[in-house]
Amino acid sequence: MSIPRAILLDLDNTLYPYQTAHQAAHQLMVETLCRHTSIQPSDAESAISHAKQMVKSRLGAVAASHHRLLYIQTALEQLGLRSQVVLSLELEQIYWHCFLRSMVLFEGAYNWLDQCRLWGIPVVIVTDLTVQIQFRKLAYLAIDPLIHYVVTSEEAGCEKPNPAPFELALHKLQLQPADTIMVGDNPATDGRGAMALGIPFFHKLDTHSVADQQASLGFYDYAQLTHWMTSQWNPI
Amino acid sequence: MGCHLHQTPFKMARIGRYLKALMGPQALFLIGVFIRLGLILALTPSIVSTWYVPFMSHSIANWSFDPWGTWLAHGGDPQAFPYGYSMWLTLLPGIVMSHWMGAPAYFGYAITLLLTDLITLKLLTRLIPNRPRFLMITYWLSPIPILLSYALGFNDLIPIAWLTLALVAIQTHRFGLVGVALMASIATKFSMILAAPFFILFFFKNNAIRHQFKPVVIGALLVSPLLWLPNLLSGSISSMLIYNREVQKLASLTWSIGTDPVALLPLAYGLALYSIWRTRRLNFNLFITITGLIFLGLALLSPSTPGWILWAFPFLILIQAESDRITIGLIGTYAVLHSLLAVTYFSGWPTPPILLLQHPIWVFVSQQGHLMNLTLLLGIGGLAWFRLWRDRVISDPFFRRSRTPFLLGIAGDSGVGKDTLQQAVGDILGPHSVSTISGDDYHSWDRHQPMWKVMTHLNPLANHLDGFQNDVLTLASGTQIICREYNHHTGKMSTPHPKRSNDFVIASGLHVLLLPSIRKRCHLSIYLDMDESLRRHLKISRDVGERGHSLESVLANIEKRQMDANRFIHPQRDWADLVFKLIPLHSLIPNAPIGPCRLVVHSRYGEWFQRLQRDLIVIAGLSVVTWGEIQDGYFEIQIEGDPKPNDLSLIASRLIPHAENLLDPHAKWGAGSIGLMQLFTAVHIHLALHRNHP
Repeated sequence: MSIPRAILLDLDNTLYPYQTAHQAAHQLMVETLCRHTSIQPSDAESAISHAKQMVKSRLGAVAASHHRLLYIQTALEQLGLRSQVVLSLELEQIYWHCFLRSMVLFEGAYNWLDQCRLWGIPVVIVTDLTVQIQFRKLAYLAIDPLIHYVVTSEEAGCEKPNPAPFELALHKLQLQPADTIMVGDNPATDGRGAMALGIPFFHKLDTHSVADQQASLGFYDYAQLTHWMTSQWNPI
Repeated sequence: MGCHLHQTPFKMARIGRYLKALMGPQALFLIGVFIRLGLILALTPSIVSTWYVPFMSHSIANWSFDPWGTWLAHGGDPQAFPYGYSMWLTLLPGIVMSHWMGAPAYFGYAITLLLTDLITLKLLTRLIPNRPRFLMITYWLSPIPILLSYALGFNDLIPIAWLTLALVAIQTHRFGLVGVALMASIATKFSMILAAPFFILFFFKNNAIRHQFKPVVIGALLVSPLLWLPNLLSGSISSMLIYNREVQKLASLTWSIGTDPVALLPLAYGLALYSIWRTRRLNFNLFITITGLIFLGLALLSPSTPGWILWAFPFLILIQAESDRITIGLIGTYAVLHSLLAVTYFSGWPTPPILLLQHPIWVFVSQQGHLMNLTLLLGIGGLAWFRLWRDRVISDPFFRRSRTPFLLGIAGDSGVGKDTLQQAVGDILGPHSVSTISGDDYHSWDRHQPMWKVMTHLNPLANHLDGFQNDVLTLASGTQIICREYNHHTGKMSTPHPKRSNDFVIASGLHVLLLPSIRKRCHLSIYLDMDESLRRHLKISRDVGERGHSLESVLANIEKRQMDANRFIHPQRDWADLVFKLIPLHSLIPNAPIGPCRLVVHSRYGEWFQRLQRDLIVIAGLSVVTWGEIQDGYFEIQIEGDPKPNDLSLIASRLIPHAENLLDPHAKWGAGSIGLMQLFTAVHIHLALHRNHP
């Protein structure tokens, strides 16, 4: 494999641990809902979980299916409260405020992105979810100056592993699949989608996971990836 | 892609993974465990086999509620166990378990130390989160806890674990636990009483948590009967405590005046306490640094008591966590030297392993022995001490500002919200840390006096500006004043009363920046500006609605004041470091809410506006209309939107390093424009604290 001319990069759980931020934000959102109302935490949890399933099955694999405001609106409606506009907005803001506050880049991720900049390899974020919140995440993590383009499922019209987001990224870069690599944590979405187009998949692993057999590389941290890229490709 | 491409990366990944695993925190932890277990199996330190274990074994063989009395009655050495029930009870389970399992009693003692060691590591992880590798290197693999505890058998780790718990309790604001942990530490090893005054001073020199000292005392008092009463009931403990070698070693370093010796250690300790007492304000970092330095100093001045370095150890690790590599290296080198020399002198080994080499230089060093080693130890330790004092204490803005309060001046026309801003700034700094003084208290006459018919409040001649100036400068020097206060409802001055100075003095008034002496003394000066239509709207609302004036008189007053405002108030804008101006976005309707406003901010220190702009957009979802440098060295930023207190608090914590040292733990952030002004003011105070200012 020759040195790629660009890197397609997933965001959630690839550049920062998603679950940590989500759990903290979700817990605070549920606590706030229960504090404002007499709803029990278990009822709130179950309503939100049910609402999430309903929204996802209704909308399918599109960006809006991740919209927290829709989950909250549906959950409140399921709880018999109708559409509580202000409360829904407040809970959504609390969720994302806490989510952003809890986000921390994986060790070495910033240095790796900065190294890509120095090597002159453009980085394109290819991610599901809506553009507004993904932009906020990138800016909050202060990595936006290191990113050339962002492709969201909202922009592409469908989610990974559908080829549309990858094709849109390639179109923005004016490159062929073989010129790029895809770095992501999810073999089912990032891996399958990329490899279907002939884009090599680099699997970001967590401590306990094992690399996807079809992936070109499995790596545990970004220092390791930087070292591997330096030794394999010797980019200038 | 070919097969080769698949295989090579995986192989590389595996190698990388092994390398990472070898140098990772888990591997370093296991290495530390193996070293400890190896030492436990290989060595039985002489003080443990001579004193501690015989005492503990004797107390198991001769069960008594007063094992000290039984020990002495059987002719035991009075120096064997100069500790109280807390230490005895801590060590007892391990020793009993060893006896029960038929293992040497020392194993029980050492396993207790190992468990305490693990607890200390866990507590340090709470104090320094997300840096496991750093902790493994600076604590877990440091020769200090390893050699002093497992090669020499010192039990200082047990009180140190309690002391570290007290630090964790401070940081997590569980103040009752601070008292419990501190008292347990002292009860376990009485020498730890040397740490208590620093904790007390920390609370008394930190206004934000001074009121939390009560739960500390309650916590300490609650556990005291449990920890101390058994000791008091046993007369034998007292007689053994006075044989405590460490108490005697306090007098080991002396300086002779004629033939009379003066003990230098208590003198140095007393001077250190006095110097902290003279510090106006202590934050957690300064407390850690100064306490660590004092313990390090004590260890340096008394090399014959190597266990004392363990007292400084948690503090030194916290200091290292925020230090550069040279400081970390110096402390690390000192730790290695200290431990090696301690082992040399206390283990019975003739020389440290490195000195066993036959090279002439080592032979020379061996012959010079004690003198050379001590000189080296004092040299490295002294250098580390000096570097920490210079970089972490003298350079600390809180220490530099510790002699005089921070003076914040707020000027502006009548009705622009000076009092509101003063109150809002007090809300984030904490009312306990702020003294306020208002120019309104220095009007020359009560409201109904005839002179106000021919002169406005804006005229300097209608105010006792010399008195105002003196009082502001007196408060700013840290001294109490006697002053009157203007009652806006009655229009009369109160009787004089004392007003004490504080960490922050906020002087607000029409003429605060008009007076050069105050202007130059201010660490931060703010000018409040306002769109004229909005100012009139608010002034009418306030003076008619809140202060009970008639609408006609307020309107006439506004017109009459315009000329004086142009002459005496508006020029102050050019002298301010920070200017706030509120502009309404919609036309104002009498008696109706104002509606959304744009906040225009001019700052002399606006270089950081770019970072602020990002966070205002990303976190608070605000509209930053424009920002950039304008004329006269001012930077401008214009903001629209309605930020929430939580968002502003988060932005402050991102923009201000160690914001917890500046802001009140329960800071009350406002929403909207006033919250934004709080944010700007807080950041500017931080900037002013870190600038060289007279």
